Amino acid sequence: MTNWRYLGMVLVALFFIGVPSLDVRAQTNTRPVKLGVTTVLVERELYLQTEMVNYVGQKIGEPIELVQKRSFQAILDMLEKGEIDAAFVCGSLYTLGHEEFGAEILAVPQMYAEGPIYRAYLIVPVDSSARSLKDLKGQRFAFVDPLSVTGRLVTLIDLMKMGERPQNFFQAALFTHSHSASIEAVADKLVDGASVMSTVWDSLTLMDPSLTSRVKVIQKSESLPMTPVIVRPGLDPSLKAMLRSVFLKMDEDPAGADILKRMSIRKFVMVPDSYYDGIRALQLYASKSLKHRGAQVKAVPKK
Amino acid sequence: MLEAIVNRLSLAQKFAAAACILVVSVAVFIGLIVTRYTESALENELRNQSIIIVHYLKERSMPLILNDELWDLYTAVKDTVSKSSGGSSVVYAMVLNHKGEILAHSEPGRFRLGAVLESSPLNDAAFGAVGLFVQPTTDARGEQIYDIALPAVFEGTKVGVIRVGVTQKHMVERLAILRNEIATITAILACLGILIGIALSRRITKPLAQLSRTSYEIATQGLTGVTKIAIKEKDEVGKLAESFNLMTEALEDSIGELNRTKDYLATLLEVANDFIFTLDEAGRFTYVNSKFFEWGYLRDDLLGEPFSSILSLPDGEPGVLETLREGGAHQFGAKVRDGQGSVKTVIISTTSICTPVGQSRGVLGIAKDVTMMKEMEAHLSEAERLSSIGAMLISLGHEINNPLSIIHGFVQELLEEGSSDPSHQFRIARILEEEVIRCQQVVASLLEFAHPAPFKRELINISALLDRSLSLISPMTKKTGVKVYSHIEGDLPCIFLDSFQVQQVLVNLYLNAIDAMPQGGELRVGACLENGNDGSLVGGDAGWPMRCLTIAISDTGYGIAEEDIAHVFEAFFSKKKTEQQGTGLGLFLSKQIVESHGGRIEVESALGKGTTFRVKLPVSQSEHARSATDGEDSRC
Repeated sequence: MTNWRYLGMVLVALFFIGVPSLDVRAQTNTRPVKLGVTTVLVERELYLQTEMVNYVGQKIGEPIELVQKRSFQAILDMLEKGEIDAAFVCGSLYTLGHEEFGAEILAVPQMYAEGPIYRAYLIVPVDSSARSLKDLKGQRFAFVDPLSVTGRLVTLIDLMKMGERPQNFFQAALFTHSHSASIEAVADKLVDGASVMSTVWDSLTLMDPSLTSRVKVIQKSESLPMTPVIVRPGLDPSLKAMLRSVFLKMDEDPAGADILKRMSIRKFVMVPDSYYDGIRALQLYASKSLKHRGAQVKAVPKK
Repeated sequence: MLEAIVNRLSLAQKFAAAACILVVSVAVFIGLIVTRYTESALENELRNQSIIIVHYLKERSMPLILNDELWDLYTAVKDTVSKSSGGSSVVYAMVLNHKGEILAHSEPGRFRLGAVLESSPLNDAAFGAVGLFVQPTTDARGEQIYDIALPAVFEGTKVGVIRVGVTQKHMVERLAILRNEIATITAILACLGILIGIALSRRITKPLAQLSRTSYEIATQGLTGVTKIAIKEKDEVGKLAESFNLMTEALEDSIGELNRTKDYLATLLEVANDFIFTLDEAGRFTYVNSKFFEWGYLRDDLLGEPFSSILSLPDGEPGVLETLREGGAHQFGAKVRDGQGSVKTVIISTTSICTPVGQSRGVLGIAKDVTMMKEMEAHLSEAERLSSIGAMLISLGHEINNPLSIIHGFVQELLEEGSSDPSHQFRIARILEEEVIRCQQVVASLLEFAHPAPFKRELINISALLDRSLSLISPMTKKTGVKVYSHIEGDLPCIFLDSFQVQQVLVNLYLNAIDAMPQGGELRVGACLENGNDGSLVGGDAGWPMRCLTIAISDTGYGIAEEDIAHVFEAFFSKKKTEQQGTGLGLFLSKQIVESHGGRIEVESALGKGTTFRVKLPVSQSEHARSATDGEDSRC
């Protein structure tokens, strides 16, 4: 609560003093603002992402360049190096970034009425007999990204709770680098199961019911902190404040509200750093295997 | 079968069929070439495309294999199949690792990730391939496919195998579409060909149809009112139409001329002063001219009726029947009943109507009404007879006068002398009786000659008739000192004739001969059978084996001057030098009588030497068969 008040004061201060400084920055810094996205979250909604970025750019008075990468790690690296200014990332990325180089939360999209949360869904082909993760023993499994909370971390924790390790539990596992791709892999029966974030599933059930109809959800996780928009620590505070302002007020503007509606986002909200402590706990639990790559099928023969 | 169908088709249909066959043949030929060429091109294209696809998949897969990006590998494999499914032909694609485990397969449900493909000659050969390797095989549905394998080699080490299954199904489908299009175009062209064929043939056959129509009109309605064929074309058909028009005109002229001639001939027949008719083979009237109206017959009364229906006596029929049966020409007399029932005497000439091949189609008859003439002849004959009787009476007067004088002398002697000598009286009575008998004979002869007998033909013994006629003139010959020599053959046949008329002819000729010899002379009478087929006899034409009886009467009198011979048979011609002038009718009537019997009379004469008359009468076979009987009775 204290944080919220502090944040509010900062925002008010920024509002009054930040505008002139923006002009100065605009004159001195010719590099456009860069926003990093990954296919992990938005592979199929890139056009909406673009629309939102354009909207934000329009609001702040300068264009925003969209930088797309396939993996969370790549985005995190670019953010650390200052090659991008902000990024849509998974909660685990924020905790890592915050820990490693002081990444900050800009805003968090809220998609459910209960708050800025989401869940991990365990999915299997619609005709599968599996009812839980343990039924998938000896089967093929798709992870999304090594750093994805819902796409990997949740499953690892569950396996560890079962006393299993993924390399032994699954016959084969692969990374799809995208929640929608994981859903597709299950639908095509390339794999026998996958774990995906609930928001992607929900939007895909609207956008591509023929795909989701071939898949069924057999398990839903506890609610998890929603994937945030983060910024690099060295970003111009006024720009950061302006960006945050635009995001947070987006639902109040008709054009912004329209984009949000189409992205199934109710609004952007601000959360404190502690909001992601739950993620941190999970990461700690699975610290030993966090960076493990779980593919069992090796393509390159060992020499 | 085919010929029969072709013969039934109209010209337009034949043209259309020919055009259709031509177009379809050409289209099928071109279609086959195009299909064959396209097939080869498509196969080539398919092969090239397949090689490009498998190479592309390999290039895309290589880093993914090395980086273990199985999802991306799957996406690549899936793309290969889905992108090519539009028009190409990739039915499956897969990436295997160096152990033969499936890294990606376009059908992940059936070919599980990490599984090893079952061993088969196809799979083993594909996996063992060292370069691009193509194997023909069939897919699950039995369709022909090519399995193309390409090993993925990284730095000399085989890291996997890319395999793609390519079907010819799309190619076959495209070929089928092409064939359908060609078939459609062919059908359209064929329809077009038919239409063009019909249009072309209409153009050609329209004038022909007009010609045909006009010909039919001429055939059914004649030339009257036929319009000329108007054809603008200058081609062969146009020339044909022109010739046809010329022919029609010429035909019209000819038919007009024929009709005029026909009318003229019909008019001639109608206005003829003779009764002209035709009979069919059964002897029924098929034509009668207007002359029959004079007899009170309407044309409809007679047409179809037998000829015999107008005959009053059946004796006219044999002539017609003979003409019908035997052909040729006949002439005969007949009695005909007119419409009012009056009997007419006619002379009928009949001629057989023969086709050029000699088939009889009936009889043409021309009848001459000689009733008046016959009546006149009868009158003349009577006059001549009376004249003859007169002439005979003069001589017979002497003949009777002599015995009467003798009788008168003896009667006077009896009256004056009154002799009582019975023997003398008996002698006188005998003389008287003889003389009276002589008188009776003379009178009887005269009566016989003068007594008019009715016209009647019957079979007559000609020898007896000659004897009797000669006996009639014996008083005259005795008086004039003419010696009579007769030479009559013994077996002369009976002849169908009127004995009274013929006797009149003979007596007339005898009297003429006696008149020509006032100082006496010789009268020779001969009769014999001769072959008469010299055409001289009426009714006997050439080739008809008719015999004739010739009666020759010769005298040794004055003879007839050469210039008079031609006129001796004319009426009222007489050169007699006797005290009695001749009537000029004797020979004229004799000729009429002989000819009415179908015979003829000839004369031969030398001035100062004498004259010979020959009467020739026809003898039929039947008459000849009945030879003369002996005796006074001249009838047979």
